[in-house]
Amino acid sequence: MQHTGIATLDQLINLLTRLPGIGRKTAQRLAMFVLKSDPDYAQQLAQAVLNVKSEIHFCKRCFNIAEDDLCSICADPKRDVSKICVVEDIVDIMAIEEAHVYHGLYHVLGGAISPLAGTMPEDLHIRELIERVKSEAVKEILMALNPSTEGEATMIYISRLLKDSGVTLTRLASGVPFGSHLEYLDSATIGRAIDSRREL
Amino acid sequence: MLVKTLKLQNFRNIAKAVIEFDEKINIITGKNGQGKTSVLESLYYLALTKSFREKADKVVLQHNKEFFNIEGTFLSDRKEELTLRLYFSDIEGKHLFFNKKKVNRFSEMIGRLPVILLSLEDLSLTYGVPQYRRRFLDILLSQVNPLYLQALQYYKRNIMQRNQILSLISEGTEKIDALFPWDVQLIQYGSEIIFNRLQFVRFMNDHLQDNYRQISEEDEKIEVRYKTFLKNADDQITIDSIQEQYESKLSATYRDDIKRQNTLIGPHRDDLLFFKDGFLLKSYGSQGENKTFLIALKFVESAYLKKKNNEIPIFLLDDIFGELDTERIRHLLSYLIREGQTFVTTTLKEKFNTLHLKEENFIKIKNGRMVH
Ligand SMILES: Nc1ncnc2c1ncn2[C@@H]1O[C@H](COP(=O)(O)OP(=O)(O)OP(=O)(O)O)[C@@H](O)[C@H]1O
Ligand SMILES: [Mg+2]
Ligand SMILES: [Zn+2]
Repeated sequence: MQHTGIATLDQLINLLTRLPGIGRKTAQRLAMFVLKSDPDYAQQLAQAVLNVKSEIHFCKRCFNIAEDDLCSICADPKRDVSKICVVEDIVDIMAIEEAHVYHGLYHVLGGAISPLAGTMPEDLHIRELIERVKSEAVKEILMALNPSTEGEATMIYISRLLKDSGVTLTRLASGVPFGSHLEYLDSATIGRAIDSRREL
Repeated sequence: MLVKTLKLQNFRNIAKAVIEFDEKINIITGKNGQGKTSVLESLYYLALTKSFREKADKVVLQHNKEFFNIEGTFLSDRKEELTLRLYFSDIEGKHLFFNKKKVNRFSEMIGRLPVILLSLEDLSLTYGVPQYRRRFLDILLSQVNPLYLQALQYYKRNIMQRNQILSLISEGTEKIDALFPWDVQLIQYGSEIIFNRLQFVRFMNDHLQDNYRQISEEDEKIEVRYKTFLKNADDQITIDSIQEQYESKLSATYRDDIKRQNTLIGPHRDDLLFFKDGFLLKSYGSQGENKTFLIALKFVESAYLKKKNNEIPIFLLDDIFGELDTERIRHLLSYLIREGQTFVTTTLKEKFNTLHLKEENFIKIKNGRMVH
């Protein structure tokens, strides 16, 4: 690793390198950009970084990002409180919201169980989900986890915990994406869709 | 599929060659180190964009040359004329052209030109460790059934995760209960894999016997068995019954699994056993018998692939005639003539002398040049 020899610049570069997807070279370019930019920009950037941490935090109820105690979805009286959609990550909420078809609440687990990555059930917000099922008026839990071995394991784990809770457990259908042409889909997707076909 | 012509430039020791092939049998003869295997290798390259004996493209590029080029013209079973060209240079990399159009994703082309290769290394299928036989099953079944490939990928990942849990349990940092979500999936995907393999074993048994007898012409009983932890594992078994047995077996073995920090049962431990007249071929069979069996097995592979893409594969047989007597070679060739197009390499042209082949069936190669 080369260093510029200027301690303050090196520190900035080192910190930038820790961001996901940023290598040493890119970090150097970014740091040089900040160095050459006008003082206003550096001020705004630094403040924006601080604000993100001080003013945004996680919703106490569902662990979505929130400006207050509750996120905008939990605070919205029009949402259907009888449904909770369980997702791995905050970005999954954004994706589902864009579809405008789901009007219930969410619960962000913060990942999926993966022993190899050192993530066990107690590292996720699973306990909080079980608490919500007990204390809220939930009728249905929709599992919207990623179609991976880890997502599947997490789903199986949660399903077992909620088996006797009386709520209905549902999961996303694995099938043919709407609007896609069959000929462009890979055969495994088509195969699974045929396996999980429904009566008309 | 039929290979009509092959044009080579700077491939291994072949500087330049244009070869026209017979529609049925092509016997490439010559002394050691003249370029026989290289001709087969180049056909394999067109089919699968890589070699069967070497990973790096650079190695097949002729010493001190900048590029190599392989160009073939083909006739599909539906009588379409096709061309395939593979070009490689150190600077420009590897490029594939199908009917003169550049192919962006090589994986799209795989299977277009179906080939079956049989070389001495395939003897590890009968003589080698179980892993070779599982690989044989997995590659073949994945080509035909994408759901099999998906189940296999999930299964492998699941085994890794489960083994990690087993280590954590044996260290005392996790409880036995943590296995549950992984066991559920292990049973699901594992059963799917075993079920498909058992169906294929049935297919093998339906075909192998005939194939073997066609070559040996003796009344021998050839049988394949799938070795697994299940009882009554045959093609009649249902997925449900596999899952049921799987579950009870797992709960009987998990303590050993924890002790060994490894999943001890499942399709990743299963094997194929080959029998002749009730005896294990690899332990009791002669070398010639093992080879005969392998050839019969390759014919099963071909029949199975044919079912998939309705295209008869071309056969590449590299140097496999060593221990076969002339009778067996005769039967093998007459079988091959009925099947499709075959390419054979040998140093022993004499072995083919009594087989009433024509001049067009022989291609002699000397120092990288075709000689007539
Ligand atoms: N990149 C290369 N450039 C030039 N020559 C090569 C290259 N790679 C291999 N060779 C040579 O090409 C020759 C032909 O090899 P090939 O394996 O095709 O021979 P063969 O006729 O099949 O011999 P055998 O009967 O021993 O199997 C060998 O002498 C080998 O050393
Ligand atoms: Mg050779
Ligand atoms: Zn919320």
